[in-house]
Amino acid sequence: MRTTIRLLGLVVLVAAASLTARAADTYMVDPVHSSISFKISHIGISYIHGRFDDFSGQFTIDKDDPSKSSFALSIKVESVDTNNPKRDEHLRNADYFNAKQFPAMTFQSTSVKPVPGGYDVTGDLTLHGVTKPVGFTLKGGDKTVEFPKGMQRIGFTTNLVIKRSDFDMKTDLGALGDEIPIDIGVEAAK
Amino acid sequence: MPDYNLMALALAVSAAVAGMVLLAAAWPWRKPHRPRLRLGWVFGLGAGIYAGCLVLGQWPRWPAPEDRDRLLVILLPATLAVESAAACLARPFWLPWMFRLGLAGTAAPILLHHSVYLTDLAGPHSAEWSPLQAAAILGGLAVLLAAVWALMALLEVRASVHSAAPAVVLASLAATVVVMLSGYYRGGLMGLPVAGAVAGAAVASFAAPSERGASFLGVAVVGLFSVLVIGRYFGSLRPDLGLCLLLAPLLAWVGEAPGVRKLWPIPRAAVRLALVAVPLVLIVAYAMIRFAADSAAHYEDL
Repeated sequence: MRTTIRLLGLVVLVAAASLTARAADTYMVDPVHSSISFKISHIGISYIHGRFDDFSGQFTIDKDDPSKSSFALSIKVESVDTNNPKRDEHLRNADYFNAKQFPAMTFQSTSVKPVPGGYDVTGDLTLHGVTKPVGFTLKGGDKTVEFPKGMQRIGFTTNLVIKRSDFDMKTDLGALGDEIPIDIGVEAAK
Repeated sequence: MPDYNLMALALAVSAAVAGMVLLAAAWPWRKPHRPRLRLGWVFGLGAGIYAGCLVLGQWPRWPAPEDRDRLLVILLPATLAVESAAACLARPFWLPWMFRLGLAGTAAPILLHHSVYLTDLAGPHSAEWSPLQAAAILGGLAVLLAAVWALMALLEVRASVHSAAPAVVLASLAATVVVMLSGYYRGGLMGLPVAGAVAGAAVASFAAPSERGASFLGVAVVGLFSVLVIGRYFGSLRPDLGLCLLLAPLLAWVGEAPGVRKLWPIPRAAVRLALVAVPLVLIVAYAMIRFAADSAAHYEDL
């Protein structure tokens, strides 16, 4: 009798755990339907636009307790693309990203708060070997779409501005802007 | 955009600091205390290089995250320590060379530490070099540095520091320009304080008699080697150009050839300088033409 009660207790515990797990959904970033782009002021008269072509990420969305949601993104800085191969080569060198020393730019959320239409996210951005807290509002995430069949998909957009000098990227601070606006549009699927 | 005024100031400051430290250490100039004179060279070059870097805004960070930081925080102090030991331990003659060879073996690994070449930064087995490749490349670099260091030291011992110093100055200046044009501006800048410090100490040494049979330029040789290694592996310096820049100072050895050795000191120095300068000028010119061509390819479409 005692064994049966213990088994029942175990079953209840496992069922409760699986229900809790179901509340949090994990999505993998789909790079084909996502983009991470930036722009930088050039000699104060206009902007040069660029993007990163190689990145990955994982989102965990907890609908019941959004504060337990998390967002992680990793960008290969070698994949920087400003539509000029020589400039991209220079950007990869140690004057800027130093891709041989710091191959990845990463973001890991530390705090997620639900707001109307999305989430306020704070987290650690590591760029050029320097980690700084950044915050932004992620818009979206309110609905999931099945595409292709059998795959649930969620999407977010955001924009933020970082100062490259905060990350010890100080080359050509006069000619090239310090503040870098970044636009992110990501789809993630499970 | 290069700040030529700042670069000229850094050259002048590194030369002045190196010269002043040497002169201070060499007092009284007519009959300097020999070990102190040798230490004056070591610390003169070191102080000059750090002063020049300070002017250029290249002050290192700790913990040293990048190649330039590791050069200034680890490699250069280690070289100063080794050369100081060599200055104090003139005998037995092989003992300082054991330290120098040890440093030659660790110089490149220090500069490339925790980079994608040697470390799995993007997951297991992601390092760009296999252990065998790493051993071959780092071993080759160690042999190169040791060979250039030994041959330049031998030239100083055989001729004088005034025979070897101009070659190192010219090579460091050329390395500065070529590394900058190869897409690593701040890495190239590191060559300026090296050139300035050697030039300043060499000029100052005319006031105090240099000691024959000793070598003084180890710090500068390691500095030149470091600029070229970081230019190659953290910039886009072509390996053949880097090799030529490192080996060019050895052409000063032609001044010791039997025919040239008979010449008067000034023509002999001119031959030595010209033989080092010609390939360096050609390399710099080639790098400038290539850089201009790359830029023109963009602007001609406009």
